[in-house]
Amino acid sequence: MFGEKALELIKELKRCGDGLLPSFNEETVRQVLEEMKSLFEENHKDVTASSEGEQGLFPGVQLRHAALERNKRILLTYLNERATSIAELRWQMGTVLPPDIRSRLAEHELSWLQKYNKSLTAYMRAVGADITHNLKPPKSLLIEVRCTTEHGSIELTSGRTLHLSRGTHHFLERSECEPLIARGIVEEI
Amino acid sequence: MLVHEIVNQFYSDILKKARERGLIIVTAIDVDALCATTILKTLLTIDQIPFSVYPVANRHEFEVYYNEKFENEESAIILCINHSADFDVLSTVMNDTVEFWIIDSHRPININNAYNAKQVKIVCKHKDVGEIPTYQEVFETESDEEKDSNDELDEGLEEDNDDENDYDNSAKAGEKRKGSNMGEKASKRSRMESHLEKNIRKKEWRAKRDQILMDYDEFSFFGTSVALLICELAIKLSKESNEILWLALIGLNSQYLESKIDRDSYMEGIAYLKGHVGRLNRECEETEPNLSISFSNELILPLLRHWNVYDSMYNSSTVAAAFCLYNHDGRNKLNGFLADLGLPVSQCQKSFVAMDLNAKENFENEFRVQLNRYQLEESDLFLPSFLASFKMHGKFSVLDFYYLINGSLYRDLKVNSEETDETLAHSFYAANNARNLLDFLTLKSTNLIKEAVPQGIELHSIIMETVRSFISKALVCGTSSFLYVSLPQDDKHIVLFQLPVTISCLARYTLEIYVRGLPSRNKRFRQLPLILRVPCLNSGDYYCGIPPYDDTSCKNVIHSAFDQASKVIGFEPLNKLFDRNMVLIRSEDRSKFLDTLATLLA
Repeated sequence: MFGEKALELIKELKRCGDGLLPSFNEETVRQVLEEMKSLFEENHKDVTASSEGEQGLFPGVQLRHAALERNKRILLTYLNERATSIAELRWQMGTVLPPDIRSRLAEHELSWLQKYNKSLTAYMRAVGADITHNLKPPKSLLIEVRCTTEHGSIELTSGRTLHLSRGTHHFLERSECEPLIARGIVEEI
Repeated sequence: MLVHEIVNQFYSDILKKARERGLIIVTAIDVDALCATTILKTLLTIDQIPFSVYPVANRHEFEVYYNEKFENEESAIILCINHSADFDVLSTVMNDTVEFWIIDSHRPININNAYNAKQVKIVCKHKDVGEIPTYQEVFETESDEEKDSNDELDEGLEEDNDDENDYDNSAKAGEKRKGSNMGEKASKRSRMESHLEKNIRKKEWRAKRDQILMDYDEFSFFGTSVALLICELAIKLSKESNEILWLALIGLNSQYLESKIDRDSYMEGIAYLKGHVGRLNRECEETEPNLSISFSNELILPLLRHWNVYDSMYNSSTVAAAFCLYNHDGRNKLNGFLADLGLPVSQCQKSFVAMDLNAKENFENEFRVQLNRYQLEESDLFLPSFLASFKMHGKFSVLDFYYLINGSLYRDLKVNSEETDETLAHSFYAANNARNLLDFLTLKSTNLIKEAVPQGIELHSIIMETVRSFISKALVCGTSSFLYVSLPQDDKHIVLFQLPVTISCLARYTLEIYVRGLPSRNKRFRQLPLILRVPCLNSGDYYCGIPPYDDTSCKNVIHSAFDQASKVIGFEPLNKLFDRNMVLIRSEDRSKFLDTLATLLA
């Protein structure tokens, strides 16, 4: 059946679910392309034959053409889906992707990512802000955190000192807490 | 300084200053304080005021915290929840820019705290204060002192002048000098006399002051629950919610269960909260809220809804006291009572949720009917209280929460002691477990509440088991002035009895069950206080004193006896606890301490 291989690609993407990127299935893509090539050649042959006066070949040509169109659509969808999720990963994880994800990208996808990165950075430089942070507006400026280690005193931007010891709760400005959360000293409640 | 206007003076002041100066909440670790802190946290979160919460276990830890950790915070506002009103907070504090706000139910208020206008502010209700001696009675007014010291100075100077005069003017007219000398002598004498008089007056005044202070400090008692006080603040600010009311109810109820307040004060609080609960929990509301509260007359059986009838009754101090459940006869009596209730054994041993519907519905009514036959009063076993339902997670009584919170405390204690013995010394149970409790009390996760149930049950059964062993092994001994019981050093649950909460539970249950089980000729033991000794794992012994069983005023004199005893023997308590009816002293001082107590209490 025409188009079966192509459908497999889509199914594979779907199986992996959201946010997970399967490695680029070069083999199947090649097979689909081969199928398309053979379809096109047969069509080409038939069309030349019918232009020479042979009758009754049109239904076949039309069928093959539909299959060709379908394969094309599926391939484009496949590439597009992957590109979208790669872009999403860029927003989530920053410019450098972890090696295990990187290994799943094809050559052309990597170069695409590079270009995407370049234009994103250029745009951010133009705007003058890191637009990948705070995608959702924070509900409040202050957050409540719980200290998980005996850390000692820290100085806040306001000039006050704050003593962080295990089990204490603090209601602080988000900007002050973020580095502490990243270092694992406090956790958000 | 005493502050009575909780919104205008207390809260608005805090709001004004906290942003710049920083707000540090130092909370004691008892049920009431933790509830109060949670309510206050909610209010401050709504107003977006930054704060830090530090739970502390005892006075010693508070001082350590203060001197080591807050020393840089020179202008901070420190808010003490449920501690510090009854001892002089400034005695250990060096700098004079820190401002203390105290919300505490411990009474009497320390006189130095009450009259410090600048640094110490105590939030309380008018009716809670009691009679504080007037300023003139307890403090030397400055004008008096100045006058005194000026007089003394003048005298000294004049005397010097006299001497000089003697030498310089020796050759001058003798008579004149004589005359003036005579006059001076007379005026000197009169001055001496007035000085002496002043001294005598001063001495009298001091003696009177000591007497006044002693009278004032004689009884320790408890004022309005701090959770209730802060709930009132929330209501006045129109920020009340079911969660806040629920926390206030838990705080109030914990005070009653710990015999800190009498039934009248409890009922007063309940009546106040009932109106607000009714207002916030209308039945016709379309969307069901996460938490809804309803009034009910609850049976005072520990964790009944999450246990089974038999165990809950077996471990209830009131029932145990009435039936003498520490011996075989008592257990037979309990079985008889259950049979009278019409409950077969199979139903009693089933968890309450799984009990037969009919049996469950009739249970409380039958209970009421049978009470009289067993010389029990309804007020002993029923308490007007509230029930909370958390959507699909069943119902919890306010009473249950008391046991659940203490149960959570206990879990963390166990974890801590398994880590190392050392952590116990410092953290004593402090920060770490209060963390879980503060989470638990936000009431956001019903799972946390459910997880606490087995611990609550375990803790309570262990306490009751220990009480039963005290009585069956006859460890309680009566002296002429007090009852004394001591926890054996090798008790396997000794780790658990390192918390003030559990120690006082143990003491109360022991007294109740012991005294009520006595034959009638020993009635005089009902008028004696009980002193419980619990060996501390590090060093020393805890002593906890509770007032006599027949004394229903909820006032305790033990602390003044403890204070005096330690003065007589001349030692400092090893660890200062927030509750003054508990002390930790060195083991070698034991016999001396008890002897002194016996003479003092006689």
